Amino acid sequence: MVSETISTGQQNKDVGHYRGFLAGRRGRILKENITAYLFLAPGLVIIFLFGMFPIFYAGYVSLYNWRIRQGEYRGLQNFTSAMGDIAYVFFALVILGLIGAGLMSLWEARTKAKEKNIPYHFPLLFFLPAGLIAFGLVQFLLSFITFFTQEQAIAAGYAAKMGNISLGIATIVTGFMVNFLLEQWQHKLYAPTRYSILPNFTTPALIIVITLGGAFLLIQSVWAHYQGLDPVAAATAAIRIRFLSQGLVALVVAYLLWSWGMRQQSTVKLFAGIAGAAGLIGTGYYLIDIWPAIIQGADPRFYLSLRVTIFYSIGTVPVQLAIAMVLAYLLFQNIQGKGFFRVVFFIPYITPAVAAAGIFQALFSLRPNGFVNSFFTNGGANPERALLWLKEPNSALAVLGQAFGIEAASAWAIGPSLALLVIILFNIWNFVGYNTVIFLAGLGNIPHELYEAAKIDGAGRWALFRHITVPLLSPTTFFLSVISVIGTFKAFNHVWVLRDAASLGTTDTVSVYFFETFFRGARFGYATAMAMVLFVIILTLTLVQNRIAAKRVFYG
Amino acid sequence: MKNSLERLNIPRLLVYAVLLFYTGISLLPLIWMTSVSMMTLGEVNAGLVWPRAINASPCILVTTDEYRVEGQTYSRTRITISIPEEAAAQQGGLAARSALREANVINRNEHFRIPFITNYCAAWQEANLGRYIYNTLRIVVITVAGTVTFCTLAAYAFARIKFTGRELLFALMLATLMIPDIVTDLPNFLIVSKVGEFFGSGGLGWCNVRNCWTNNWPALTIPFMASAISIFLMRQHFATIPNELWDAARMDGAGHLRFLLQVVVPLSRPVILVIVLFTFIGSWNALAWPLLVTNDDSWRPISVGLLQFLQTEGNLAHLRMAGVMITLLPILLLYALTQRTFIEGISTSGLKG
Repeated sequence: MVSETISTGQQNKDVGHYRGFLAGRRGRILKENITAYLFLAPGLVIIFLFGMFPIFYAGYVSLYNWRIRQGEYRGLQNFTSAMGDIAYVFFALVILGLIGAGLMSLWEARTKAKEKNIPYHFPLLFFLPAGLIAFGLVQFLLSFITFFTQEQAIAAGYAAKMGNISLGIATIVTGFMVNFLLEQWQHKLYAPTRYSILPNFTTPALIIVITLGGAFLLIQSVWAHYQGLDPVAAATAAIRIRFLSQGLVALVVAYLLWSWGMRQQSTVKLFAGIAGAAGLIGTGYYLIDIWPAIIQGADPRFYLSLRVTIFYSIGTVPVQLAIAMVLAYLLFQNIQGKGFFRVVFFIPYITPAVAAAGIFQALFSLRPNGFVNSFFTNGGANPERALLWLKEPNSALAVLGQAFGIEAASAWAIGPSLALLVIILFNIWNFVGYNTVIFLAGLGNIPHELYEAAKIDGAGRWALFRHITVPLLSPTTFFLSVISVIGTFKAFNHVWVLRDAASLGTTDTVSVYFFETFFRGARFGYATAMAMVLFVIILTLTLVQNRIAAKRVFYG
Repeated sequence: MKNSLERLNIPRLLVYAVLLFYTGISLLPLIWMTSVSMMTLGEVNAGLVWPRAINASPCILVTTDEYRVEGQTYSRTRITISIPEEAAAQQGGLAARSALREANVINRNEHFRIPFITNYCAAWQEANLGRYIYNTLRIVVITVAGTVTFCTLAAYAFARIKFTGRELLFALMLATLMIPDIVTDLPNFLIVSKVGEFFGSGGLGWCNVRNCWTNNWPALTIPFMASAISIFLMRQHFATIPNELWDAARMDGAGHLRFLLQVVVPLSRPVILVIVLFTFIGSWNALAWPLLVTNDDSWRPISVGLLQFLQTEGNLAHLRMAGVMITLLPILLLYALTQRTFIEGISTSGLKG
């Protein structure tokens, strides 16, 4: 800004006689804007068309019976047939989240203005441009979506759609102009100096308008769907929803009680803690007890895939983080060949997923003299019963126990299947290198003085690791664990290669089941409903990560 | 390297033992794959760990043979694939044919032999890997050209031009990072088909098929020509370029484009290299999206080709591993050449490739 004002005089001298539209400071700002938008146009069009717009489009597709071509409108039935009646609770949570986000953004704008000590008057006025922009956005998105759903490419149809789309864009532009005028007005009214930054209420207002609008539409459609059910179904759904909500509320209350009790000092702690724990256990049992009724009528494979994903996360994330942390710690010592080890540990991560999965498929062959099976035979397993690995749908615990002759093991039919265990091993092998590299970066941020000080106080190497390295590395650990959990929800390539029909879907994570429904089953509407659920899960994890990371990251 | 941890005195030997052990785990599948890819089917079935001696292994021979066919003797210099007899019987196909030809040879002058690579030749031929690698390279070149151009321009605008709506657009762009690919695949498939039809023979008529995009380069490259993470990385780097350079360039009468091309881009080679590398790896690994938008070999990339090969060659582990080896090798070579840039790129950005 400063350099601009300095050179203004010079610029005016240069053009001298010419005082056209593009002359002077205003002209140059306009020129800068045009240049910037020309630079941005191709990249942002691609990002928004293929990165952001698809989410809205998916929301639209999920409301239809869509098999390759658009079918009849089904409302929220795709969601309820995937998740069962729990879909209502899911929607309630999404609505609450939306409203919370809107309120939070308003609150943040307010605190920002307070912090900068700038008087803010008429913030409600900013709902005018926000409303215009939101309306334009909805108009634009709806016509844009129908642009992509048109059956035949007819010139007349395209022209009408183009009209609607430009109407939407015009409304958005008007909204921005109103916003600009309001800002200018406030600028003149309240700005103490020329360069002070005024709080902009339009963005939070926009978020609020959109979230409240979305929440309203969602409530309306959930209600309409509920009304549309036949009386018996509606009654049973209502009962199940009530039971489930009771359970969830009780769970939250018990948790709050328990965590509050943990923070107290006196005997209150004991009683509150015990009551909370009892409540947690009780509601846990209650929820497990009513669970089969809740998911009755839902898609069992959807729930199987959720369970598989959870097993997959639990099986991979802690193990790979623990290995990576130890390796990073060892690599951080002053040793020879540090670079070599780092390069080698990273190799599994860069091997193309299909190729690496192909190797694992061959390693875990079901032949008795396959590579891994021969190890088992040499280790005392019964060669007559070679393990089926990727073709084994039964619990890994039971199968491996039996292979070593523990007959009681057949009762251990819990946990991931043997086929999923192979995929878990693959995932660990694949991602340890990546985690190690990130941990190394994190270790580099721990100040050396802490180690020196602790050693002067007589700390041993285990104490140093336990009380300095682990806690100071916790932001990195947290980042990696969330990234990895999200990764298990997104996992696709290697699972797709390693999955086998004989494993009966016990290796299909949510994303793989989604792809299967879409790619093989061609049930687009149903698949997008699941994708939306997946999206909400991943988004929640990401937001939680961002929020906690913002509080806890330690920049030594 | 003065490192305070140095004096922790964890037994040196233990450290090396653990590190070497994990090195073994990292490399074991790859070593096993290499070994199997050089075996005959018989050796694989016998459960050998390493292929037998060079003489007994299948190899490529350059020989001058004398034939006797219907009483006449011919002499011919040629390149053949030679497979030991017991293996040839099990191998079928290529090997059986070569064994048949051997029958008429009465005298052989061996010039030289290349051992262990017959499986690679067979895999290359049967999986049509050449075609897929060619396709992938075409896709990579187009994608990288687009990515570098579009991302550099956008990152420059975000980093160095003041314009209305910059913060809003940047925040919106970063918000797309929270949307996973697997969720956008299905709608993108529909979008790409509609856009392709819009340009196709039924719409604007830019090409003479009904759909210009699917099963063609646009569907495989255009959606990947800009990514929020690349723009973000470049923007961070561009923002560190000192303002004095811009002032000096403007004194000399340079505009934004000129400054970008002649000052910013040469100064940002490392970050551009990182983005090129990741785009390359991304194209080489892409599976779900190419599965959706290709339906024949004209543009199908290597991952899909290899997957098909793995699925059709069910029992022939040695051929499968040879195919895997061919797919791995370019990436491993690339990694060997650029590992420093690679690892630093990942550890500074936290990028999950």
